[in-house]
Parts: sequence; C-alpha cells; structure tokens
Amino acid sequence: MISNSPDRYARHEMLHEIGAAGQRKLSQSSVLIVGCGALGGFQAELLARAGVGRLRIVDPDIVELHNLHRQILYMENDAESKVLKVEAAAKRLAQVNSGVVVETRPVRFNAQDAQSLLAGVDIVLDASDNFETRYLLNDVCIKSQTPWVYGGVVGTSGMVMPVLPGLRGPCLRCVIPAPPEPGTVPTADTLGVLNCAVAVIASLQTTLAMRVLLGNPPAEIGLFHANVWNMSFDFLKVQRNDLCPCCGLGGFEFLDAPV
Amino acid sequence: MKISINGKDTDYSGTPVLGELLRSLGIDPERVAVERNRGIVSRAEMQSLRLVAGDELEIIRFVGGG
Repeated sequence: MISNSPDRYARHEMLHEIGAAGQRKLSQSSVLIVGCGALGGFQAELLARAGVGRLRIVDPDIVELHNLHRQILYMENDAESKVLKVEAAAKRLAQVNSGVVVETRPVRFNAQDAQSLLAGVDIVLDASDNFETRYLLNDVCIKSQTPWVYGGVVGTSGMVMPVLPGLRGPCLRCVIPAPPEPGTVPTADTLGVLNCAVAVIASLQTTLAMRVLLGNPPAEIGLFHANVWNMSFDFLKVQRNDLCPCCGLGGFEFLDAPV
Repeated sequence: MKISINGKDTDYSGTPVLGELLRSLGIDPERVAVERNRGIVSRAEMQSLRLVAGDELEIIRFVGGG
C-alpha cells in the first residue's frame, strides 16, 4: 500500500529536524484547521503530505470561482457544482494521502461548539477570516491549554504568531486585548489578496505547528510580519502580560458570552 | 518635538503620553499594539509611556483575512 510505504516520508525523515521518530509522532498527531479557504487549504495540503494522523477541517462555505486563484484544494468543477469546501477538501486530501483521516465539519466555528470541535486535537491552526473567530479561538485554546497558531493575510502582507499556553507564552490578547471594530479591517473581499502571500503565511504557520507537534517549539515567541511583494520580513518579540484579560486574569468573554 | 508615526513625522508640543496620543488620533489603545524604536511596547506601558523627541512609532493591527 502506497499510503504507508517506508519510502513515502524518506525525504522528511532524512532531516534531523524530523527524523523517523518525528515522522511517527506526526502520524499520531491530530490537527484542527479552522477555516478551509486560502490559508487552511495550504495548511491541510502540507500536513496531509507530511503524514499527520488526523485532520479536522471546519468551514461552512461553498467553493466559488473567485476562490480558485489562491485556494489550492479546489478545482474548477468544485466551483461549478458549488460543493461545500470541506467536502471538496476531503476528496482532494484523500487523493494526496489516503493514510490521513480527514474529519469534515461544515459549520462556522462558534462558541457553543468550540470545545467539542477541539476535542482530541494536539494543535489548532487559524485559517479563519475574521476576528470574532480568532478571539474565540484564543479563549478556547487558553482555557483548554491547546496550542494554536494565529495567521492572517490580506493584500500582499501577512502575520503569524504561535500561542503556546503550556509554555506560559503570550496569547493573542497579550498583544492586542480587544478585537478591531467589525468592518474596520481590510479583507480579501475588500482589498484582494496575493496568492503567494497566502502560501508564505500558511507555510510558516504549518512549520510552527510541526515544531510544536515534534516537541521543539521556538524559544522566542513573537509576531512575524511579512510583506511578500516588498520582500520585507519583520519579527517582533512579544512578552506575556500578567494582567492579560485572558491568559493573565482567566476571563473567557468570547467563549462565555459570545456576541 | 518630532515623533514619527508609521513613517510620518508629526510635531507635538510638550511631551505626549502614548495613550493620549493614540486617542487624539482616534485610536483605541486596547485595539492596537505599538512598536516603539523597533521594540513592542508592553501592555503595562500602553497608557502612560511618556514619549521623547525622535521616537519612531508603528501602530500595529493584526492582519485579518484567511
């Protein structure tokens, strides 16, 4: 069977960063991907090819024509037949690696279901397109001590930050306590988005996820910012805030009292 | 005194305090982070940090789309 042939992951196993033991760990890992559009598609494809054990993908949307320039899991016929993204994704991922268990959840990530959507996962990758979801993700991940990796991309720029509760690192709200006012943040719908920028940001998020899964998280936590078009890359180290409303003071307002 | 905000020099009289400066620009300090001279300003200092001439500030917001 191709799906578990020893050759399959040879070029990853050769890396001292992964190795045969690391590959085994990946194969026993479960990852939740919140959003299965641009970032989520790249993340899912990379993780499926890397041979993670289980991928749970959450997205309520259907495939549309204007998704195709950046959402690599989807084909023209998916847009034509207006299929659910999670269904098209599961089909594609099964072709990429039939050894990976893909669980589909055609729902919007929401406070009521957040804890059950996280059940049994080792890490969460943010591929959502709004801050309501990200601040909710931060709450549920801090509460359940689950690592997660924030990522966002719009225009030619993107940002990445890992949140590692077990290591007492800073969380999203240590950096910016309150989400932006709805409607004030540019999105792919209002500003457009460069497909190459998506690939860079999703790839960085996935690398961080692999490092966390392999027990080798980065020593310094911070906010990484890239403008892919300008080739400018920035890293800002971030400290934990002892008075953070979430990880410092233990308030979970986005989980407990969703707006 | 001159303070650079997102790459633009702005003149201020006196020695402004970060939280007030942000609010004067219509920015809620709770909804942004600030980079000052290449380092991120800690949340504890966001309101009361007194700025000095030549400070370079970048107002940071999370990038949205996914």
